Amino acid sequence: MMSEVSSSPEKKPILWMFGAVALAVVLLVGVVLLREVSGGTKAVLPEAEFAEAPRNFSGNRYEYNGRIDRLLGFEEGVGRVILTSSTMGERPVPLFVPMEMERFSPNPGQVFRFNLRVDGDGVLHIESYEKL
Amino acid sequence: MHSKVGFWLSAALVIWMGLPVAIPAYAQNGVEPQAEETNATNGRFSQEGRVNEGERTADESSDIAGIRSLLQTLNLQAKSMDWRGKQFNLGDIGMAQARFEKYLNSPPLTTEDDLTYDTMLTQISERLIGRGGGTEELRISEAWRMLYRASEFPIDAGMSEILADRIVSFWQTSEKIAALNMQTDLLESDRQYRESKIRSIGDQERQDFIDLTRGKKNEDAPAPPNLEHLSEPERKRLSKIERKILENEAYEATSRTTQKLEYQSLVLQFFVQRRFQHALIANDFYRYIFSAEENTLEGADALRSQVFGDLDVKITTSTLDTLAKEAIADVDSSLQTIDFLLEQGEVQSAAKRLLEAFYLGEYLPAIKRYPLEKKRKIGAYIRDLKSLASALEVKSFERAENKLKEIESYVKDFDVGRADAFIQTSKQLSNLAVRKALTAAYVQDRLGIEDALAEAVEYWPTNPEINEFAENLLSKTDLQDMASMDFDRFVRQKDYRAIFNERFRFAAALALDLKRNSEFLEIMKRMEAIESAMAQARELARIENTFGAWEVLERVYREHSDDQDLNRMRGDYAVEASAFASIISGAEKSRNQGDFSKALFAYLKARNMYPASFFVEEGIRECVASILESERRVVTAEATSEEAAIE
Repeated sequence: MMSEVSSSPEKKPILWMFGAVALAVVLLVGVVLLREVSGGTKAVLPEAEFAEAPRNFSGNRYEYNGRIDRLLGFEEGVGRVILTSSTMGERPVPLFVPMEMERFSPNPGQVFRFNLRVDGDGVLHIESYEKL
Repeated sequence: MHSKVGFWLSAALVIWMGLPVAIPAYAQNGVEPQAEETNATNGRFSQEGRVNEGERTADESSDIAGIRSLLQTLNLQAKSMDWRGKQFNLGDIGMAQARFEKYLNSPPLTTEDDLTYDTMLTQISERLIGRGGGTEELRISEAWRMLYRASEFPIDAGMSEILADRIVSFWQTSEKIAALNMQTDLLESDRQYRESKIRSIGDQERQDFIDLTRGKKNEDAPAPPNLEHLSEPERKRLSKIERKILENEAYEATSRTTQKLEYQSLVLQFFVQRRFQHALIANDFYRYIFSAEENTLEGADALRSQVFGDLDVKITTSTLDTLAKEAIADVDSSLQTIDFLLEQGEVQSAAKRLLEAFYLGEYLPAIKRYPLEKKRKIGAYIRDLKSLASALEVKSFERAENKLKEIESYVKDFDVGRADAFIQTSKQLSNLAVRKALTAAYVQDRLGIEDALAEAVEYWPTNPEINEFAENLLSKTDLQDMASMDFDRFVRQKDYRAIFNERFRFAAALALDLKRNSEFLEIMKRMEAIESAMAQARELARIENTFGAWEVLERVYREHSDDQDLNRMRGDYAVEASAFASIISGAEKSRNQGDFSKALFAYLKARNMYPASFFVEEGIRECVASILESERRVVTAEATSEEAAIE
């Protein structure tokens, strides 16, 4: 009876270590998978903070998923300003579409993943996009 | 503007000053003199005693309605009255006129004393002509005593006593003459005695001389003595007696003549004074006193010529008697005519007849007893006529028209045509002048207003249209003046709300003020925008759209920040819409700072709160435009640098 009790504690650390490793692997895989599922590897746009002081984020690059709302402005040879709403919090986020991004033809309601860059004036420039 | 205010003020002043001035001025200006009718209206009054000639001329000149002329026929116009070619002096015109007016309002003299007096005068006349019998001396004596009793009545005015005294005087003189005659008789006897005595002495003296001459006496005998010393006293006495006789005879002759002339004068005086009853009584006494004597009026030349003028006929006491009786009969006849005329409603004619009858028979019983109600009817007509004349003179046509109707209602022989035509014509001319003044006022012709109003006042001073015009002008003047001052003060204080609150007053008052009116219109536009926004805000607040309400007010406030009501209302809604207002404020602040991205985010946030916001729409549009502009500059710069690199 006494031996059964002593043999069991010898095996427990091994089990515990194995379990921890397995858990770490699972978590790692989960994170990777999650990142894969979320579609991007860049920083997510901090919408609320950004809206309060865009210029403070100048030079940053972000990944942002947004739904096309409407065109706010267009100037030939310059580009467009479109209004999107965040898929996360329905916040309105205006984006500047450069002129060279000619093939970008969004329609209201479509959801895109945008790679964004913040210029010196705090304006979000679309660098690339992916339709979701 | 000031000139315009001055214009209205002066025009108003013209009216207010013009009214009181124009009324007396009217009397001077008047109308064209009318052909004088008054001379012909009553031929019974001579022209020599006319008073206030200038005044009457002025009256006549303004008597185009003819009432004053008509009234003149009922007024005493001369101090003497012509009756059948005989002139009766009535004394002072004013006093005589007053007597007639007093007579019209006096009750008839029918008291017991009055009747007794009239009866007594009648009895005196009857007694003198023999009624009651008795000797001549008895009747004369009784009649004479009755004269004293008659003189005790105040109405007699002492006339009877004067006559009685004259008779007494005659009697006393007659007695004195009788005494003198007796004395003359005695003197005559004495004269005869003295003459006889002187003759006797003369005879003795002559006989002595004859005897001496014939030698019947001794030659040595002394010469007979001279007897002249005996006759001389007798001669002196005789001379005295003869002088005395002559004196007595002269006294008798003179006294008789004097008494006769004085008595005739008294009779004539009674007649001249229109005391016809006393004249008749005096005549009756005359027949007894101066019986079988010449009764031609010889004395009192002045009185006689006054009554009969230069008539070259023999005037006797009988003539006076006849004329007095005719006058009495004429008065009685006139009163009967007056009664008939009054019954027919012909008061104008009755008044004229009564005037004539009164002045002729002022002291006759028939006149004195004429009923008061009939006299008052005539008196009322004369008063109405005077009132009408006064109303027409001052051109108070409403009063004149009322008086005309009143007179026409009870006077059948009064022709209203001329007066009525005058009234209507004057009214029309005055109204026409007011229209001219109105026309002048429209074109701000001050002189034109003055002239036209002066003309209107001259034709009809109490024309209600003048007052109406004046009141309108004055109220307009006051309104304009006050409104101009208030407007300027409110503008200085930028209290456009006060101007808006009294917009109707200012609109009316400043309509002709070109400078202020344009400013007023601008203020009204401004206030219209404010009021419209406030109304819109109230409606939005009613449906609980406080963001919209605030935004509407905020937008107007940015243009017109000095309206107190707007500020108060905006403040109220700003509290309720503070979240939205704060975001908009932040957005605008960022925009002003050139942080268009931040501003855009803020506007977009605000848009989520109030999608219909025009602040948001405008802000977004502006921010996007600014962003694109900024990007355009970048693109242009890049293109330039690329071209430079290629080159």
